[in-house]
Amino acid sequence: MDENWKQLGLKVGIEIHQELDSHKLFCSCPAIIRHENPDLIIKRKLRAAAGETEKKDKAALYEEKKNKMYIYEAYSDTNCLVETDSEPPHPMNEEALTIALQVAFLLNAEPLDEIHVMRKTVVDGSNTSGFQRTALIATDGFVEVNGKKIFIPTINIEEDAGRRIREDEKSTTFRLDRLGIAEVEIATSPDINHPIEVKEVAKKIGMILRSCKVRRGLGTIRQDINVSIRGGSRVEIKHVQNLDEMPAIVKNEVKRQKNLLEISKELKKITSEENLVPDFAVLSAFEHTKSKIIKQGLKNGVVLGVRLPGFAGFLGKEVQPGRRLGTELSDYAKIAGVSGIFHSDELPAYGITKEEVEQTKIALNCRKQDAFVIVVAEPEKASRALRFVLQRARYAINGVPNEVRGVEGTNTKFLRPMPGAARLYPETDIPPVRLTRKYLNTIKIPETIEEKIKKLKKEMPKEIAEQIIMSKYFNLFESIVKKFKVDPILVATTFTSVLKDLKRRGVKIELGEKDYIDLFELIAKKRISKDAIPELLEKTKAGEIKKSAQLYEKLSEDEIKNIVKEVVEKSPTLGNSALMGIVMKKIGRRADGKLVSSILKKIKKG
Amino acid sequence: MTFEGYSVKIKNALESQKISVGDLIEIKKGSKTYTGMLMPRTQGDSNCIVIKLANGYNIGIDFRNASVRRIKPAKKSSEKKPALSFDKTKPQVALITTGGTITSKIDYETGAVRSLIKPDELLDTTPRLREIINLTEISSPFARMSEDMNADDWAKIAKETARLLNKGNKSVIITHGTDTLHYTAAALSFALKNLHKPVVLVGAQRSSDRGSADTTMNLVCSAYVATSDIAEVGICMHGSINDDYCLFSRGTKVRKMHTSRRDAFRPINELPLAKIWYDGKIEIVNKNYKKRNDSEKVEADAKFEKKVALLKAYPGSDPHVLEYYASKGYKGFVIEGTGLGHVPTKSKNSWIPVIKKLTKDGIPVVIAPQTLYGRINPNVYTNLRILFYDAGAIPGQDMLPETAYVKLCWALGHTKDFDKIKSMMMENIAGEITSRSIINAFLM
Repeated sequence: MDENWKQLGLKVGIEIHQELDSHKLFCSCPAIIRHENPDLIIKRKLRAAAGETEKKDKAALYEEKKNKMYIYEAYSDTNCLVETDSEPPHPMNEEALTIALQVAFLLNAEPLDEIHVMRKTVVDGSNTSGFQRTALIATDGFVEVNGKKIFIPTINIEEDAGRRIREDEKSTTFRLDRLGIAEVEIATSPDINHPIEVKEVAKKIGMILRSCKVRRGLGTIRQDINVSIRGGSRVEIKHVQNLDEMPAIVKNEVKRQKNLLEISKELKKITSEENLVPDFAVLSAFEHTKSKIIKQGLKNGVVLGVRLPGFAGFLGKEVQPGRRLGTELSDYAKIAGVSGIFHSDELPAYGITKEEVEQTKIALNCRKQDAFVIVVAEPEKASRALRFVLQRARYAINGVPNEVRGVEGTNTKFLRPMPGAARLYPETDIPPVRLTRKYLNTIKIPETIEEKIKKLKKEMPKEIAEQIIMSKYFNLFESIVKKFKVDPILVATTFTSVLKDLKRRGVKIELGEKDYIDLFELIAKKRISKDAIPELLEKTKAGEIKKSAQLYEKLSEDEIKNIVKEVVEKSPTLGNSALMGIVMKKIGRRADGKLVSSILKKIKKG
Repeated sequence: MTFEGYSVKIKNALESQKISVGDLIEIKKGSKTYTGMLMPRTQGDSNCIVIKLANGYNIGIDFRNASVRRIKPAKKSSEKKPALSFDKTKPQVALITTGGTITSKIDYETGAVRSLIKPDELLDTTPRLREIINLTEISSPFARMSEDMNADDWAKIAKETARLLNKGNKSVIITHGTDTLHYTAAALSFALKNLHKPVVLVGAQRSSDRGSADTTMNLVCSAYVATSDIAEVGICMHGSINDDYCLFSRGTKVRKMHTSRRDAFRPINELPLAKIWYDGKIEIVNKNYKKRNDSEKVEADAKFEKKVALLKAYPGSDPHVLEYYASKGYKGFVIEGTGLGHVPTKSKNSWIPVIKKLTKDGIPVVIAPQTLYGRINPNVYTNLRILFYDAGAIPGQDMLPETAYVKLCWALGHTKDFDKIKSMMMENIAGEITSRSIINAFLM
């Protein structure tokens, strides 16, 4: 069944963050994601300012921050003082700005006369400075998808945040490899009115981005989508990786909002927010429980319960496939650090008996129309969890809460409340950048991907062309083909099928750009045969291509002749294919088989 | 608010319509209309008018062929009352602010910065101070970037410090720009006579607006020092790149050793007095300090001669600069000598004749180590002996050049007698000269 999206008032906007293929935005460090252990650890605390937030519980926030340690992992060879917030930022990376402006041009946007870098307050520690540097560079763009204009009001250039590695109650660890990588942020208006259209717009913008010098590979592009329906609320869905899943994710989010609106309508008839009071009770009903989860939790905790007046039957209502209103309450409880909740619509189950349920109802004064939620944890944690449960229950009466959600399959899951408008104030360490006509005129509009595909198709089969264009090696492919006289098909298939085959065979290839450049330099100089590529890639290590290649260096025809002669003289009675076998064993990858075979034939003939 | 930084054209357009910073304005340019709040301009192209859009971003619009009109006047910013106040039962401490960002508050709308006036305002940014001290007052004798300070400012700070200490405060914390913080620290070390309470100088290497500002820990640790028994003038700032501890280093033996790192202030030729952990633990590293005695009164002996020059000898350096200064009436010189204390001696550009003439005329010339670490030695090489014995230069021993400079200003403020100056410069007065060169006091 397809919905009438227009009638539902579906509005979707997309926000795309794409990393640019250049050094970092405000220092000269390379943009390299590291996987080995860091060699520098920096420990910081974030200032717990009393006047920081208006709405949140100030004291609680203060206490929380006071004891929290932020640990930053860094690499002395690819990080500098700037990323550790120990040196003022350098002026904006001009190459990155140029790439971002190319993106802006391709999105039909107008660059500003003068761009001002701002500090955007960040409170989670992901930026060592406590803010993210960001600048609006162009406005009023659009893309056309199936004849419809989707507006892009703003295009920003900004620095990426640190990479969250782990978190516990006492500390959060970020890695500084990603901090400071230049990225372009593209936000569309909520002009999209159909789930399929979401994917098409994202794909279109993605193709435009790929036309420019952007980073490829996992994590280098992030898509967030904002979804709302009439009567619902704007919900931001973070990090949607797979474009093909976008329509399903949007559909499921719409389903959730519709169901929540339905639930709200019913709940309003029988209960109100004032009925939801933090009247928590420690339940003795579970003293001798058989439920393993509760028994485990009781070791250093309590079972705490709360009554939800009028909620009987609602907690079990499905809001998304496999997710109930109870699941939404549970997501909120988890903010307090508990692993989940039990609610009356799903009990008895999980080893909790009917008697225990009845006793709980009595203890919490539940009437027939009331539901209850219980949680097992240390007393303080448990009551914090139930307060969050109550908060979510109140939202349920009102409709759809404003939330930031994450993707879970094609469902969405609560991550955090929608933050208020971030505070932006001027980054006084970086002078404003004047975008003069003269400078803008020097910016070349790159070929679009469509144009590139068209061109490449003349040089190679369509499938290979498409594969290499979508590959993370495309920029490297282009620079290699430009630099050396090599067969583009060979380069393309090396980056696509050869690497894929090796990966399938379980070979771990950890080579850098320089290694591939070295490889094709050897090919271009005809020093090694193309047949040697797979084995060479398998056997070599980063930085050692040229050394490893010595084993595969091409033999001259004279050298081949000598080897062949020697073999033939030794075993004059053998047939051609047997001789060929012996010869090739000696030559290995140092010559093309075809050439050897023709030489062998010639020599046999005498 | 003036329109400093804007072109005459923009200024006129704004003034003619009585627009002021903070007003909501509309700029029309061709077919485009921009709406936002007018911002002040501090840097960049004066022909571009800066507005803050509704989404928070600032942009600059080239004002040629554009027009402006006011939509709404600026919202009056309501001064919020500080959320917290100091605990009267904690030790009384006063604060002197001399300018700089450490005791300033940012207006997040415009980015403009203003100084704090009331003690409680400091708690908005550093609430933990409440657990440590009772800040009785914030005194601001002047507001200056530290590179603009001179000996008159040191005298003002010294007098104000003495007044606040003698009023009954347990300590005075002085906030200060970091560039010349160690000069002021040295000046106070000489000028505060009979000091028996801690005087803590502190600055910030990162601006206070940010969540990661080093201000917070520096101030908190300074407050711990203020309540300690270390009755010395010193600088209390980050000890490492982490937010783990500060070092409290003697005012005459500390120097800014990095342009931007938090842990830029390092003790030189001496161990720091103490490590101050963020949780309040004070770990005494160097037992050589005066103990607190709250019944004593301090005296500000803050006379400084301003005509003192600090120069550096280097290959090819020209001794005529000394003559130039002398002709301008300079009363004393500190020269950063190379190695053990050399100046060009036997070359064409020998400094020896000029130095010899100056000392003969009763003008003291002190040699301090440009290596910073280590000690001047007048005996090892012939050229050293020529400088110190024939030409009459005064060996600055293990004094930092900056400390030697401040000390000479102070000494000349008291007497012009060459022999008296010489003996003052060679005698340890405020911990500036040590007799033993500590082995592990290098590159800390």
